[in-house]
Amino acid sequence: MMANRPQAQNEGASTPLQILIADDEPTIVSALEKFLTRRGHAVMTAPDANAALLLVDRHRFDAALLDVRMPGGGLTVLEHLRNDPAFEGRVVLMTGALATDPEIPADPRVLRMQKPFRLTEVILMVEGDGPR
Amino acid sequence: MSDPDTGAMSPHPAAVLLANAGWSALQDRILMDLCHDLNGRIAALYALWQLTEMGETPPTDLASELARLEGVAGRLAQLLGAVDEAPPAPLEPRQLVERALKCLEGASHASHGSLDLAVEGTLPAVCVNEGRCLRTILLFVDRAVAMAGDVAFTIRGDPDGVELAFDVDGGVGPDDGANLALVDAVVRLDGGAVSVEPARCALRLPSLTRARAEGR
Repeated sequence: MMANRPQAQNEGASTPLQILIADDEPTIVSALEKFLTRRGHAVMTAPDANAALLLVDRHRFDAALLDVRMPGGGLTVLEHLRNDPAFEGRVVLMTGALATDPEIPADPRVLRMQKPFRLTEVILMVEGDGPR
Repeated sequence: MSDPDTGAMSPHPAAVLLANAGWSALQDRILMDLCHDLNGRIAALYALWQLTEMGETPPTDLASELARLEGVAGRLAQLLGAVDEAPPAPLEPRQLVERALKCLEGASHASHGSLDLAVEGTLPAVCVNEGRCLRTILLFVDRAVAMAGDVAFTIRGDPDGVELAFDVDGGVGPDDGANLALVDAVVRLDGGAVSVEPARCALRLPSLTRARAEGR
């Protein structure tokens, strides 16, 4: 019987992306950074909304993974990105799906990923077909 | 309203009801923060496990992450201990305050401020209802965070009791004063009091000696 193990993601992504990861949970950030870097993507990280906004102002990103409840709030960064005509990528909001989580605006470029998540799910959301 | 035996002023029942409502709201907020933290720890563990299963070296070892998970669970246990309604008993005041700070430590709603505690001199044992007193201190600390952000608490003692205090640079506003009045209503059930000065707030708990002298 085959064990249900996560598939190794040694193969590179077809298109390397510039990805922003913003979360105040350092283990999540470093795990995502390691995983996505091995896929061939270029990753920059931030521990809060202010640091993320500084990166957004200085760099161009193809995708952003934002924690909803990090200091300053992931939605603050989301709104900045949605109002930035130069940003055409997708945003993945990482949420604990708690009753106190803020309401996520409806937007086809905005995806929601509930913690805990499979790393393979991250690939589908960041690299998958869909609006960029 | 005063106690016929001790002459001590009792809080108005409506103030106690309001304070209890305030406690319920605070407890719910802290519990939600702890749920968020627990979920974050579990998500981190799961991500590390997946990396390991892929043959990658995880950026953090699983044992360290498990220890952090236990830390959050410990804070949860401290908070749940605050619902205990045991009869008044001699307690170490520093432990009570540190338990309250531990409940709030790292909680999201307090993440914009730091909580420091300095102990001055020897602290006498206090005689209070443990669960109620912990709730009272939590309410007091929560108000302090709301008023001052980064809070440097000082705890000092004398033969009559123990005082937990903090300074407010911008002064105490009317709303803050009203909220602290509710904390005062609850702590009076244990013979304590809250004092509010223009730039300083203090929570006082009676010492065991004082409580015994007052027949508590």
